[in-house]
Amino acid sequence: MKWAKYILMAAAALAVLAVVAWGFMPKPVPVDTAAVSRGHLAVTIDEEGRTRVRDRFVVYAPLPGQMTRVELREGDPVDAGLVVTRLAPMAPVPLDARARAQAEANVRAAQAARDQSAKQAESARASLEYAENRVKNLRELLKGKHVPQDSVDAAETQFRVAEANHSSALFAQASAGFQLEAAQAALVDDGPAPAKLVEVRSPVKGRVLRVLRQSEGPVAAGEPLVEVGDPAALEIVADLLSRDAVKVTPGMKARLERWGGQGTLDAVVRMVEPAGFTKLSALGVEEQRVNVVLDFAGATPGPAALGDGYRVEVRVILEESINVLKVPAGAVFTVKEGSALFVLSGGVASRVVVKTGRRNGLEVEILEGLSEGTLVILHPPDTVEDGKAVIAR
Amino acid sequence: MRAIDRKLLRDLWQMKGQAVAICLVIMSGVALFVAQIATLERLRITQQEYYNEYRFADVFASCKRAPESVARQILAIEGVESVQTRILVDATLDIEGLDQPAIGRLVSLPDTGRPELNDVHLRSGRWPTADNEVLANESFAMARGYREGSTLGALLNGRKRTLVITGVGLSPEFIYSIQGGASPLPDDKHFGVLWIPRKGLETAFDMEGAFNSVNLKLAPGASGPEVVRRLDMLLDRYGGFGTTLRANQLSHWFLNNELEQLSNFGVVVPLVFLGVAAFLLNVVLNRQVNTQREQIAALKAFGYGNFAIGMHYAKLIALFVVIGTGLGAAVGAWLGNALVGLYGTIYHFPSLTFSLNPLVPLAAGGLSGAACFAGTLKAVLGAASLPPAEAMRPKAPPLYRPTMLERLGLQRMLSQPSRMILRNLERRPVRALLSVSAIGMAVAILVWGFAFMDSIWYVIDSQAYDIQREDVTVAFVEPRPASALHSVRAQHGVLHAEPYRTVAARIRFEHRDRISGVTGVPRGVTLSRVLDENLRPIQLPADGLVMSRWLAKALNVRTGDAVRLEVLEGSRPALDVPVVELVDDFVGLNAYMDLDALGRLMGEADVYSGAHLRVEPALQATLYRKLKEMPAVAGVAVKASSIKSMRDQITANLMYSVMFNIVFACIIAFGVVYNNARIALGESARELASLRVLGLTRAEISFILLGELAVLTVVALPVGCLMGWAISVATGELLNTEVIRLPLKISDFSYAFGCAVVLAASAASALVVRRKLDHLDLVEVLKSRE
Repeated sequence: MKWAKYILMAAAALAVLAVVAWGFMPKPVPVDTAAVSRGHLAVTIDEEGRTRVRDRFVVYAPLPGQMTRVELREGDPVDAGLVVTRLAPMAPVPLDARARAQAEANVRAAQAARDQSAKQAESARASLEYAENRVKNLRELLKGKHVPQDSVDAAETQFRVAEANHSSALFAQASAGFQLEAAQAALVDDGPAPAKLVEVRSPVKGRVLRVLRQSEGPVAAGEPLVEVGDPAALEIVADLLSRDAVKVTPGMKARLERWGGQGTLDAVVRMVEPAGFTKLSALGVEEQRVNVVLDFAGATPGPAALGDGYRVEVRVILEESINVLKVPAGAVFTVKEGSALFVLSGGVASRVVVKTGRRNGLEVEILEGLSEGTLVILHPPDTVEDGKAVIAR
Repeated sequence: MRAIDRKLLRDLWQMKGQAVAICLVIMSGVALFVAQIATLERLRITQQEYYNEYRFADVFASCKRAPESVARQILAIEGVESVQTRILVDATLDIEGLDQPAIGRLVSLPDTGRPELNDVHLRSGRWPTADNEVLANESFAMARGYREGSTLGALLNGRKRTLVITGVGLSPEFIYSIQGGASPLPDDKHFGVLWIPRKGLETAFDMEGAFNSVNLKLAPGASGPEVVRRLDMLLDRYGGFGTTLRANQLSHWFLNNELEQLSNFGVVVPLVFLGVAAFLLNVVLNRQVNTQREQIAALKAFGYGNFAIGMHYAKLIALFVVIGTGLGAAVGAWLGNALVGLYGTIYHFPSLTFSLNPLVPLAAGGLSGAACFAGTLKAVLGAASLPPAEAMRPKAPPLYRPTMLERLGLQRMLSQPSRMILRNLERRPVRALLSVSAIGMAVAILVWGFAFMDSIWYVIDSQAYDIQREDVTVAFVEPRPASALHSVRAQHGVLHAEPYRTVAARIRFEHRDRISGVTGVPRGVTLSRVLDENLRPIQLPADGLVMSRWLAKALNVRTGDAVRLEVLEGSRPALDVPVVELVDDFVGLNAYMDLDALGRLMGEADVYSGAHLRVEPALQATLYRKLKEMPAVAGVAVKASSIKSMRDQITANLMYSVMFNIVFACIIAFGVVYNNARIALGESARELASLRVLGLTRAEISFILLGELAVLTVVALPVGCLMGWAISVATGELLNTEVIRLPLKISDFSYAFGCAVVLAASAASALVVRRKLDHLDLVEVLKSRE
């Protein structure tokens, strides 16, 4: 009986000690886990991009003149040859006080000149009439041989001179009349609209993208009036860092995200522009960037909701495979041997060195070292180490 | 010396072991009280003097940019006594030998001399005069080893400048020098305050004749809230970011919160200790009175009156109190000195010294005396009023009955001594209960001491590993378009980047309001997540607000209510937004929203305030160098360094004071357990001696006494754990504030530690008792009663 008692006592004491000791035992660290999975992995370059109409036509004013109001609005359909606007010659410039006074003086000077030339014409006619009579008289006298032939010749010459002088004076009178008219025209600053109009036409069939000049008024030659294009034929342009752009080749697939609608859109790289440019980034540092132009994939030229100059997020897919072994990137960390992660097996974390392949910000491809379905520890806390007890949260 | 007083000293000598234990417990309580209350008093006085001498402002406001002429309008507000306008900006600092960027808070000094409000105390060096000269605050200068003439690079409005330190200063505005935001702990290596002549900032930030920060001093009796309302109205058109009263000024709040905690715990903890001391004294005295019945009777027969007898026992208690208080005051003064020194490293005053106000130990003496006399009043009165005739008679033997177990017919399984243990316990259930609660209290105090640490570590770990999984957070100067995120992502060394948007807003509900950041969290976030109390991610609703439970409490909002969100930046929209869910987060008052929903509310799309990054450790240094140079990057917070500094600081500060609590808790635990064992021995010495005479062996009588103690101890352990939990819950609420919440997370280690200390104390006490039993003088013990 006695030994039984001792055993009982010892057992009780041990039990109490065991409970206390258990309390001192390090407890498994709660961790977040994820399973190694097989699936889609894409390595992308992300950049902000915008849509633009592939072919853009700007209608310019062909000559300076008075433009009629453009009745088209953004979005209106246009046909090739549709009259966009009409140009009329400019109306005369209104005269200021000095110019008007000058012009009026000019008119009066012209009037005086006309009067002068009228008088000169009268004088010339009088000379002519005299010369004519004289010739007539001398001819009569020549018949009677009363005067020498020479006198008649002289009189005829004088007559022709007088005749020429007379016509000259008449011309001068006419000229002075015209000059008066010209001087009077300079005084005109409003008059009826001239009838002759130049028509400005749309070069292509499409839609009005932008009306740059809506209102009637004078335009200079070469002023852009209206932009026309086919908004259904959109392309996307994104400026990539030049070091990213070298990885991109035409034909690469891309996805468009955050464009406002449901889901993502597919696109294909058409061209990487050969020339780069310097751009001040949003962080205030200068970067070398290259425009990359993409087309919407497939027959459809893009969703109808998108228009010209809309913002999209472009993800150019550098590499993509639909069946790779992968883990969340938060599980992988760098070690001397390369990359490693913690695997949860039997309540214990064990450090496994793995060979990683492609990676994007969120996922990493595992080439060697893990099999599908293994639980790995996400964002392992400092308290986790090889062989440490852990528990999945 | 009167005979009765000689008896007093003799009694004291007889129970010297217990006396030491009780005095130590009183000492612990008094020491903690003296140290904390004296420190509190010193801090309060120093704070007040500092505030007065350096004209600490009453109202603090900031705005985007207001012309200097507004200052006159502010001064015209009724109740405003003086106004100090200034320019205050945060700039990235580039410090030699430090890859990681630091943040400098540049505060302008007026051209006309010393600031009218929030003056700077010049510790060493001279005032800066040139545009590129600065005063550095002391904690930053010390952490970085700066002296007069040291230089550091700063990125001012995108342009790199070299600043020369001409001196070291201190200001009542930055007694507790933190940046604000996520971490409530100072990081002096990476955050500093720099005072610079105003013209230096004016030109750099295009603020000629303008200010973005204004401090006010109120006239006595002025209405603070009314001034705040008027000032908010005035500054609204200049992009006001809201006005705070002194009570909510960051440094002041932290200091006051600390003082409040100190006054709470400076009283609560010592009271618990003194309560335990009173309980111990009560038990000791009851036992003393019981065993000295004949002596009392004899004394009364010799002519000592009831009063004299009462005084006799009161003197015994007074002795304990005086010795305990004396020791406690001495230890407390030493401890207070250390505590003030510790506070001096966290809260920066021009001078902070410890001095012991004699009222404090007197108050401690009064407190411990009151507790001890209150606890023993019944025993003393009982002794005083004991009728001599009855006292001559030994106390009537208690009624022994078969125990429950025996009545259930299980006595065959128990030996005779075991049955005696059970009957002893059942005979005096109140005494057993008291013993259990006393030992339990010892466990509880230890558990309580550790629970606080557990909560802090839990918060730090959760914050570091579960909530903030990013390595680095980059904050932009102004909200930036999505291309900024792509630029960050494209930096060498960045593995992954996720954007965030924070918008300063005033959240209003009925008559209450708080200024809080609303954080826009992108969908599918993996780094900086919003978690529930079980650390599981919360799916943010497509619309509406998710907010801290504490913010909801402060605003008295329930889920489903619509709060008014007055945004304090951009076009300053004001909208009604429903509160959809509450979260139990740990730090600050926060509101969260889906990033897109916040963007819609702000009338913007894909605009970010910054980004959380995961980075390649090997490329960190180059990445930091690049980030430091970026004009649009306002700040870079590195998590690893903030966790490290947090841990260091907590181990340095908290551990220190908590360690004292734990040492004292251990003293209590030993005191209680040892006393309990000694009293049990004293009470049953005669019975045990009789059993020895009847033929029981030493081992058997030891078993009877120690077995009883063992049963009590084992029962007390879980009870104590429960009590520890209950005390932690009751006092835990005291620790929760709008700045930090500590959820109760008591680890198994804490429970185990409490139990282990008590078990060790019990084992040691058992050894002492066993030794006493072995040397039990049978004749003496049996004789003494006759």
